[in-house]
Amino acid sequence: MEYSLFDHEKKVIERAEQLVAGLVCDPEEIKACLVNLIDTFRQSYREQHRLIRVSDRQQEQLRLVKEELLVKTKLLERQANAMKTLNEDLASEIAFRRRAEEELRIMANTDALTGVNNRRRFLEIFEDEIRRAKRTGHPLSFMMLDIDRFKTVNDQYGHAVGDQVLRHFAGVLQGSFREIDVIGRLGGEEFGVILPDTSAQNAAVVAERLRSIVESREIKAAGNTFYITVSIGAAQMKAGESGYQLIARADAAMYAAKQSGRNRVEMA
Amino acid sequence: MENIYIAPSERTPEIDFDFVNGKLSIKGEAYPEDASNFFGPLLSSIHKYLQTKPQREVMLDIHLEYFNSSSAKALMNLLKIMDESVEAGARAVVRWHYNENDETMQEFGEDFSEDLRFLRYEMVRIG
Repeated sequence: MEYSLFDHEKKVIERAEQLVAGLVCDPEEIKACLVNLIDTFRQSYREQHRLIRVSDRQQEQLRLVKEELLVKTKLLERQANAMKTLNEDLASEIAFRRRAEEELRIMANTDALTGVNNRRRFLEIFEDEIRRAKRTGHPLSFMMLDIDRFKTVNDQYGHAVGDQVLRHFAGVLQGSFREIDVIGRLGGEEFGVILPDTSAQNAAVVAERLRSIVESREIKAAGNTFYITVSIGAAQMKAGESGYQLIARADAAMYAAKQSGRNRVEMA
Repeated sequence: MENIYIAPSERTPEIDFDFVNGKLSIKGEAYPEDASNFFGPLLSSIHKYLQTKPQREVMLDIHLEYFNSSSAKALMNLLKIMDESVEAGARAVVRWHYNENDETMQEFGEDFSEDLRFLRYEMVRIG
C-alpha cells in the first residue's frame, strides 16, 4: 500500500473537482463540500506556516553551526600552518645539528693535515681489530712507518713544504692499501697501518711494495723537486699479545730499519 | 491489535506502540528518507486503534531531538487524527517531551498543539 502525507488534501481536492465537474448537484452537498474545502485550505495554510517556521528555525541553526565550523576550521588551519612551520624549523634544526655532529665526529677522528685517522681514533680501531682477530683466529699484522730524514726536509724547505710532504705521503698510503686496512697518523712523521687478515709474510710483501712506491714518487713543492723514503717495521700479532706489545715490536723493528740505513723494511 | 516495536536507526526514531496497555512512544531523531512510508503505516495503525475506542486512556509520548519537514507534516497529521478520534469519543493524551535547553523543540511542541481542539496535550520539560 502506498502512503502519502497528503491523503486528506488530495481527497478534498478530488471532491472539489467532482463538484466543479457537476457530479455533485445537491445544494446542501455543494455547501458541505465548500466548507470542507475552506477548512482544509485553512488548516493547510496554518500547517504551511508551521512547516516554514520549523524549516527556517532549523536552517538558522544550521547556518550558525556552519559559521562556527568555519571559524573553527580557520583556527585549525592557522594552527596547522603554525605546526607545519614549527616542524620545518625543527627538521632543519635537526638536519643542521646532525651535520654539525657529523663534522664534529669527523674532526674528532681525523688528522686535520692529512685526512687519515688521528692517533686516538686509530688506536680505538686497533683495539677493535685486535679483539676481532682474537675472536675469529684470523692473522693480524701491524706496520709502523716513519718518513726518513723528515727533519731535514723541514729544515731545508720549511714547514709548509714539510706539511705538503706529509700530505703527499698520506696520499700514497691511501692509494696503496685495501679497503679493510686502516691508516693512521700516530704523530709527527710517524704513521701506522693495521692489516686485518694478513700474515707476517704478506705484510712483508705489502710493506716492501709500499717502500718501493714511496721511493719512486717524485714530490714537487715550492719550486723544488725531490724524493722521500720510508722506514717500515712490521709484525704479526702473536697469540695472547696486547695491542701495546704489538705496536712496541713493530716500533722496534722500524727503529732497526732506521739503524740499518733507512729506506728498509724490517719484520719483527 | 498487535504491538509495534521499531528499533531506532540513524535516521528514524524508536517506535514503541504498546496497544495492549495503551502506551505509545516515539523517541529519538526523525529524518527518514521516505517519511510517508515510515510514518504512513504507523499513523494508520494508531487511527485504527483509536477507532476501537480503547477502554483506557491512550497515552502517546513524543520525545524528538530532531526532525525534518516531512516528519513535521507526519506529526501534524498524527495529531489531527488523534484530535478527530477524541472528538469521536476516544480518550487520549499526548505528552511532548523536550530537553531543558532545547528551545527549538519546545517551540515546535507548542506550535503543534495550536490547532488541537479535543486532544489533551502536555508539554514535559526534561533535565
